[in-house]
Amino acid sequence: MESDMNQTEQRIRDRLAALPEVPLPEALWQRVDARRRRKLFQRKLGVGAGVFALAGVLAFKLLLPALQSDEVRAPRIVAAAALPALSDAQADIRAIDQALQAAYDRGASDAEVAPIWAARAALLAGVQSARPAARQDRG
Amino acid sequence: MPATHEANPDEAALIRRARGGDHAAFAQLYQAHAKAIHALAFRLTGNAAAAEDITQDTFLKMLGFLSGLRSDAPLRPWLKKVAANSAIDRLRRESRFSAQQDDDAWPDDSASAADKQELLGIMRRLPPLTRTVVWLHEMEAWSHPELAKRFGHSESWSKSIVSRALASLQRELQDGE
Repeated sequence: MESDMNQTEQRIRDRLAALPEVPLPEALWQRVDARRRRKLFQRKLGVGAGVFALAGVLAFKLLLPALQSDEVRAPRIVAAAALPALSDAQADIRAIDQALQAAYDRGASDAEVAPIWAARAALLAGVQSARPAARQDRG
Repeated sequence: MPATHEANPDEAALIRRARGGDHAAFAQLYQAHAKAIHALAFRLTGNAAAAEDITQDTFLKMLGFLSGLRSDAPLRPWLKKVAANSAIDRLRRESRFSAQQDDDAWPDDSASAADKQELLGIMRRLPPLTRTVVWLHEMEAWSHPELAKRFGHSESWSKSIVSRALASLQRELQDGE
């Protein structure tokens, strides 16, 4: 009884497997590819907005000590404030390095990583120019 | 019957490149798998437009980093699973679900004799839910526990659907011979 059922099932399975092929519509590729391009564009837009926001935050952090220096302060107090700012900037550089690593791991294109590199270079330049000033003030 | 799938290192590289926006890599993956995925979607839904939508969504999901697909995992079974799940979701959305569980929803005998002789015709006349369950069980090797879980029913529900469908198919094929 059970073997009859198995035979029946196998026969039907064979017939199902032998059904005529379903033709793949040629136009479907254009449709899928167009959606892929749109999705890719939206993703790049998202990455760009993220990098822009990150650059804004970093620029604000870098400019903050300079804005504060307009106020009347003793030079040694400014130097003391510059030290934590420096370590903040170094932490930001480490965060950017991690973002770069993650981008390379997922195979991001050069266009995607370029703004991240630019933000890193700007931050690094700020750190390097802040270092001598801090040393001078301490000495 | 489904073959055992193993991860293909070339394919893993293609997936990584496609996710990075490489057009040629995506085209190559589409070329390799679209026919099988579209055919499965068509068999499960019986609807050309739905099959195209499901194929498109499946390939776009492949590009998502949160899709659950690791780039070192075999691609074809993952694509098939996504397509099958989309077809099941569509069935549910279209609210045919409850009607198909009814005994009266079994196909009528009003089709032409020529149609009866064709298994394709018989499959087309199966209620959508039955067709989906039978195809997944017989051709995609989904187990009864898997079917029961995915459709939110008991294993005996799945066994009953499949066994009645097979008996009906067998009867119709014998009548046609």
